[in-house]
Amino acid sequence: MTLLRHALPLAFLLAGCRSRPVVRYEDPTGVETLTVDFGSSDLQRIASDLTQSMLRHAVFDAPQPPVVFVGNVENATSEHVDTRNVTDSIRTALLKSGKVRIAVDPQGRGEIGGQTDYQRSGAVSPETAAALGRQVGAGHVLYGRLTSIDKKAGRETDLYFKFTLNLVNVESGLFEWADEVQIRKSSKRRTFGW
Amino acid sequence: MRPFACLSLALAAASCRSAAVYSVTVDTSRMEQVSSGTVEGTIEVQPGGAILARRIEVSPPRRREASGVVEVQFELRNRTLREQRFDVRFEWADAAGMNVDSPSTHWTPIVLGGNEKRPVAGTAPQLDAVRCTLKVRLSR
Repeated sequence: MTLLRHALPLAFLLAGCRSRPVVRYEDPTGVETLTVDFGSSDLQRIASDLTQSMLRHAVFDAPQPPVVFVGNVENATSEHVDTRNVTDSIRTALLKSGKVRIAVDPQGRGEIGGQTDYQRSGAVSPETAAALGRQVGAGHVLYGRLTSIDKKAGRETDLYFKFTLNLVNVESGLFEWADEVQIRKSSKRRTFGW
Repeated sequence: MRPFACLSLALAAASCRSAAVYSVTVDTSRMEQVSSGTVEGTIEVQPGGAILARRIEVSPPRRREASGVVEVQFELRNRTLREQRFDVRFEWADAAGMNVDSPSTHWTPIVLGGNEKRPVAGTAPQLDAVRCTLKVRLSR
């Protein structure tokens, strides 16, 4: 009976402690090393290094900022990586620099199409409706590729990422800029522990 | 000493270790542009604690301008003979001291071998970003 009197509250206490998750805010710009997989720190580093490299190139020193279309980044790795996340960050950084103009992406084209259809439906006065055929064509296209080499030996894992980005002139078809970021990460599973 | 007291001291030491940040701020608009060599500019240094100061040395910065964009480079040196892991981060502000936020404002891990020197460079995210701060901390 005494055992039950002491054990029962303790069991409830432990059960309560176990079921309550500890939630806290973390610095989104901090170094994330939870797993060896592609993570937020890798995304930030790739976006930052490539944007900085690109902005130093002479093509962005023109009096009239070049118009760039941010294309796709092929994910040639074995893991699921949302490469749109990287290109979104690169596009944001390029726009914030004030040295580039960015042409609308497919998602934006869909939104614009819906809006122009609505404006031509008769609900909008023709004076305020946006004129068609006035969009600015991109002079450059940005696209790239993410590759990885994944090796495992016993308890050790070694992961190498390479992110390559290219800027091509639409008219001439020539590469005007290209750069790559390499990241290597390793992890070792402990002999004991979880 | 009780085990709990030891743990508290260890945790306190660990938290101090991770919180220490060495920072160097330069006003790039007051730095003379030179093709090579270190540049004397307006430099403010905030030492990041004794442990960090014993492990890292930050050289005076160099500056260059490419396509109208300012680039600042520091050289980091591992002052010990063992491999050390640091996180570095560049922060930029405009002439009024207002923070210029960009995706480049993040901590980047860097591994330095014993006594190894390595340059780290930051590019101004916007044309009006003139104050550059390099922050260095020990990796957690």
